[in-house]
Amino acid sequence: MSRFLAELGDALRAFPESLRRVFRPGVSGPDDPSSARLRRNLLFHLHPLKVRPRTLTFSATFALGLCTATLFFLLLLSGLFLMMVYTPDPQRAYACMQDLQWAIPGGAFFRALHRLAAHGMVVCAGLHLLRVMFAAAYRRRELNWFFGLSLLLLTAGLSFTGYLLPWDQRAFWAVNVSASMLENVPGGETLRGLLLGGPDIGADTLVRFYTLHVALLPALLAGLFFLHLWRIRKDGGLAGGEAQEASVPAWPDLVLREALVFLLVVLALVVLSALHDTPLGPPADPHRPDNPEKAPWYFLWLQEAVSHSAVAGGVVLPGLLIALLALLPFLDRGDEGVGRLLSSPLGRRWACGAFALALAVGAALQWWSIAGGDAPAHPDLLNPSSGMMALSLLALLVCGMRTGSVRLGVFCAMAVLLAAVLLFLVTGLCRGPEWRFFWPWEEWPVA
Amino acid sequence: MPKPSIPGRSLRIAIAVAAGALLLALIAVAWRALDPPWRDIQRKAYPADPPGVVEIAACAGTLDRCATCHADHDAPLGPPRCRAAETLQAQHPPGRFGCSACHGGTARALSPEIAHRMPGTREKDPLLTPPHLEASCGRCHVPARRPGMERLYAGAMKFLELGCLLCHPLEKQGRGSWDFGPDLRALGRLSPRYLGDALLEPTKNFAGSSMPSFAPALADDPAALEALVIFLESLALPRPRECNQRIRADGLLALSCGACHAGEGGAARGAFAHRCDYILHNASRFSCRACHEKTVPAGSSDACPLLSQERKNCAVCHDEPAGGRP
Repeated sequence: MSRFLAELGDALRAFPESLRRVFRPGVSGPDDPSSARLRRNLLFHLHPLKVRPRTLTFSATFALGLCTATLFFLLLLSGLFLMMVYTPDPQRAYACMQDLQWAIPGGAFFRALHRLAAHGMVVCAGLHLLRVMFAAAYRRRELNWFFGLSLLLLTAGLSFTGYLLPWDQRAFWAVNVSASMLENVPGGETLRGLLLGGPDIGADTLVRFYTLHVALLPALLAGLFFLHLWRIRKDGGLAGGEAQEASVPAWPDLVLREALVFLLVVLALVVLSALHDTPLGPPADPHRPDNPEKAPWYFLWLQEAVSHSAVAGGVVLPGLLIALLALLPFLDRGDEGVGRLLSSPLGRRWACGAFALALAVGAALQWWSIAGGDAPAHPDLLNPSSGMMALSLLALLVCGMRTGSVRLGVFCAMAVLLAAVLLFLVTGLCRGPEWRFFWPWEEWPVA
Repeated sequence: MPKPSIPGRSLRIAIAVAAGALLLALIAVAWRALDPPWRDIQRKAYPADPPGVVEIAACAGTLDRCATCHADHDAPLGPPRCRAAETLQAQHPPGRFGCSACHGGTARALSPEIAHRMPGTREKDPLLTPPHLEASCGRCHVPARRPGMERLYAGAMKFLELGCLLCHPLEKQGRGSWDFGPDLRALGRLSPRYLGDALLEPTKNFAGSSMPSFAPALADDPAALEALVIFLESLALPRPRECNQRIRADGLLALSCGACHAGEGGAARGAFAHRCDYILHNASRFSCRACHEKTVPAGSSDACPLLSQERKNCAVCHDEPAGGRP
């Protein structure tokens, strides 16, 4: 009895120390406090002990990867909340959205947060890809380049599957027209059926998209995300720069900067979501198509390209884009200028020139296809999409020959394709009923 | 002597400021979420006993929360007395139908600016009031000569009479009928003034419109114009999901002859009467052969052999056009 009490007393006396051990496991080493801090904390553990000073400069990365990760974190958090009130059933989904928007306390905020963070994640991930590509940071980081490409595709997939869930007119017809773009690819009919769970969008599609959106795709994305981070450390951190540079400790120089970016992104999202009113259209009606049916904006450039030509715009253009992105680490074998945007002043001149030229030519081609009354003799061959692809290959050859660098050639080609995507996106946004072109200040005809 | 600088001091200050701002923003969001505007309305209107959210599971599976602010006629925020209370409201008690079935709006919403509008409308869209309230009858009922929806019925007849269907067919379940004019069911709610302009002076709303003006037929007949506008409004109103009131033309054709031919024992003999108001009141303008290919044998269980050209007119009143597509 007395021994029991003594042991109990010891345990109580030792309680504060035991509690501290719960939260601070691990042995204290003889090294400096900053490394001890990094070893104790899982989040800090993602960093190496020391990083190169260049890592700290904002213009080296624009913190785009960190922004993307922060937005993903916010999406997981707000998504869990939305899951608690949403039912993936065509009869109830729209009512759930209405309740969420107008009756459930905080529902509108979380919905706005989720939606803005999703759009922001697509933007940040896309810009991150552009930054990494134009800094040639895929060089000797091939595996992580592919992880990154997969992450971008998964992000688009998550955003797209989430687009259907509100089950309003805009969602329904956007998914409808996006899925029908698949039909241009060989075997696309089967793919479309697999995606939609049937010939048309219905209850099966909603359950399928919901499962993809809340379980399969986030799990894949989270897994790849950690592989992505792991490869960054394995590949020696940020690409480029001198290997022998004097290094700075990750704590506090890097970690505090990251914390600041994280907080600023969260703050911006919270403020925007509180002020922003998320749209909710009329309920989905399979018998009344939206006119125009518009894909989500990140697929809108593709829809515009498909409207030029199903083959050139819908298959060859995205195929060329994906092929160039996938082959880039194997085409470019130079180590010079890695880590610097567009490699060198020469590269900057070429790529910016190609981009400006492509914008001008692309705008002219678009204008010709919209305003020019007479259809060309071979619309499948002569259209803005094929024109931009030809220009992109031309830029690849001319720039490659003149500079003698495969990398700069590919950069020029990508700059042209980027200009095409941007132009097509803007044109797509301007499309009105019957896919006719209207300037933003023009009113669409209704009667 | 300056103090030795702490590593990342300005960074730490920036982080503290950002964290503080985030905390404040979150508190503001929570404050707003937990005290929605309708609570304020209730505190003013019903200081003694705020009822909280009042929900009515209305006809056709909708949830109506209007009574959260508009409890009853005698309450401060009660709705004004319905003029048709003696006739229509007896058959449509608000306790079972809610307010939105007739007056429109987004009944699930709890903020006035949303609740008093149809979901996804183009213009500022007030609730339906008489006479435009009649458009709502068309959500559940086929336009017919019945008390309460005379204007809607007159509008439907005017629609047929003026040949609107030539350019604005109501076929194909709203799909792809942009041959001349847009599908009138897919435009969303438009204000009566907009619709009136569209009929009398189409270029006023949209300069590129190629629609002819119907001023010669309608300018001197404000009643007909109003009726037609009401009918056009009814086309754009959402139909309840599960409602057996509204007869679909497909189902109509599958009915036995007696459903339409009120002859003896269902036989179309003697002075038979169609139940369809349109046919009934235009009988003098049609010969039987306009619709019927041949004489229908009495007691036939076949579907009514209406000519397909005539069938498309069914969609003016019925929800969907007849099955056979050209």
